[in-house]
Amino acid sequence: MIKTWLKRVFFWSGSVATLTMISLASPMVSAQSEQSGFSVQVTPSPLVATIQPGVQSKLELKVKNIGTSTDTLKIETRSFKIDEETGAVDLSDNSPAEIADWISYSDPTFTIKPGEWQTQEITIDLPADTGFSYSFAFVISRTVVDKAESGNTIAGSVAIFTLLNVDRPGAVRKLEVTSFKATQSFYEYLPVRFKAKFKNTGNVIVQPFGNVFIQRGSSDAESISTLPVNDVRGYIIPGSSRVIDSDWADGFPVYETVVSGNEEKEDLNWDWSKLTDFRIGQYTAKLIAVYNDGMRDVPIERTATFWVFPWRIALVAFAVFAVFAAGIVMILRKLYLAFRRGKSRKSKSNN
Amino acid sequence: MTKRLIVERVKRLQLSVLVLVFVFGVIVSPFGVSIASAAMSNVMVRFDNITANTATTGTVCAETNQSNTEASVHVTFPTGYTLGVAGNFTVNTTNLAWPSGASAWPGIGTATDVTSQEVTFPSTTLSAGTTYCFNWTNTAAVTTNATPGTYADGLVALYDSNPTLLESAEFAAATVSDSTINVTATVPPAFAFALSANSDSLGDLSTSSVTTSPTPRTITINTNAYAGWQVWGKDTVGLTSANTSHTISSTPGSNLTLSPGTEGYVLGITSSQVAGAGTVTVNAAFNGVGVNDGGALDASLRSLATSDGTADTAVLTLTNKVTISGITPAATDYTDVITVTGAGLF
Repeated sequence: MIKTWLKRVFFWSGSVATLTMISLASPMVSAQSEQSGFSVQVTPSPLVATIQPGVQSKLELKVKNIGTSTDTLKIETRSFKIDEETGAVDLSDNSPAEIADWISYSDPTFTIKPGEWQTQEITIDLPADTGFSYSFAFVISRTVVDKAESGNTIAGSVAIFTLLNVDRPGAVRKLEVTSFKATQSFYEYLPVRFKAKFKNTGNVIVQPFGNVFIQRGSSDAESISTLPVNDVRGYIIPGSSRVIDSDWADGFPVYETVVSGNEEKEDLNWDWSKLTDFRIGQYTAKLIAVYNDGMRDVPIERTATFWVFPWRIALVAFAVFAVFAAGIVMILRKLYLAFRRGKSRKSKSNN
Repeated sequence: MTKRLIVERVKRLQLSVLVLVFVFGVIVSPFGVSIASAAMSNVMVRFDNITANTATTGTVCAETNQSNTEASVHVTFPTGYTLGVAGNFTVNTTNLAWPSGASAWPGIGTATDVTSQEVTFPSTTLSAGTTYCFNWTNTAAVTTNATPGTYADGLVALYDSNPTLLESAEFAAATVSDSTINVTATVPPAFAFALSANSDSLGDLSTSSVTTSPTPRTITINTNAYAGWQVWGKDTVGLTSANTSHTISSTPGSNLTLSPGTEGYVLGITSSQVAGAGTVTVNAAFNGVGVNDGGALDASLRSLATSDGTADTAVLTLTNKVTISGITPAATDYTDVITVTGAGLF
């Protein structure tokens, strides 16, 4: 009896001790466990707004934790610039000095559970006498990144580009097309790529759009094809340039990019249903780009010429024609000789 | 038919063609111009919205070169432009960024007639050498051509009270594709960025081979941002051992191929995408298709990859690659912190 009782006591005390050890050990394990990858969704991204000078403007940015663990995040302001040569966005680690002091956040640091949304209220308190537009980025990252004892630690962050136009007198919306051309003056087959370089020479952010009309001549009433320009609604910030591409691929045959594993190559696509789109000769591309100057659409027109000459097809066609013509000539020559022989025989027999 | 006869006939044909070209080019063509009225100058018909199939207001300007007694101005809009009734063509003479030196059109008023594409406005006598303008102020008056294109068959003409045509000049117009931005409160531009894990243990490094990430970490991007996305990266100063004060690093800026036995440390990136309008382009310096290839990071943010459109599960695979030499100090604490930042573009 006592033995059984002792056994029970021993069993229960052992179990309790084991459970206690497990419960005590668990926080240690989790503390040592690997921090999950940074996973965040933000909206809107980019953030584009028009704000008033001299009044507080409120912008809302929603952040969702799409990871598997609770995260404590921070939001900061960063500057960026556009590379004049490449048009690439160069994000910086520096705060935008010209506007940083006027920006404040409802929650500069915040904790967010998996699947949870957090709405960040951003206050922009521009003085009355201010600029006409500002562009910068909000960057969201972890407040603390657990560093690996050896090897690499990878820290993630998300930037939200923010473009602000200031609604105040003196704003100048002005855009120039500094160049418009096809990437080559001669193509064997389509596609033909056009590059239109826009420069924002005003002081507010603009969003041009338009079309490239492909014509035989610059004054043709009808176009062969109409291509969109900036259909992705890209913005151009003051003082910067942006190259916008348009591709004319409405031809037969046409080069298409084929992805095979990690390799990309150009393959000719012979879609016979597009035989009527066979392109040969000189063409004119007419760019009509439009931006709104605050009152009306302002069109900008540029033209570029280029040649499409499928020389290999032309060579084959010429060879076929030459063989055919040679055959005809030979047949005619034989007929002519036969006719002459017959004629001379006839005259001989008459004599 | 003799050979000489054939040559003779070809020569005659060539001569006939030349004569025809001459007659048409020198005699008929100028006559074609001369039967038209004298041309005005500084003619402009400007549409305030040139998006296809859009109701718009606009401005008409012209300058006469003659002294006549004008009684009306007729504006013929290009084919395909839809016109409202005459009463919709209300006008004003507010200077809305008119050409420099332009004056208000005298006697201008609401249109009196619309026939086919031709709209008749009343006018009084214009002074030669002065540019006059007026605006039509009701968008119900004109709707642009529904098909994007250039249309050169517009005409502005001045008539006297008979009405006899005094002067005219053509103008061209253009329409472009719809510029409406279809962003609503329910579908705002969003950007999702998911890093598969935040550590990448490289294990024991070797002089005889290039050590690569055993489980390369991935960045998965989903976005409906029209203009695409971009990812930047930076690190501290390479793989550094605090115990030995030694750093394994490479020179950034170009694509490098690591060679076993020669110290080096690069990040190689490959990409894939399930769907989306964008094409992912890995920065050439970080192209990691080759097993020992990649680019070095440094303390400034460098572009790792971009895309020019929307992305459904665009994945960047980040593979760290390291080699050591025979004199690389032994230590167990070589670490680096790589920071990657993603954003939807504008």
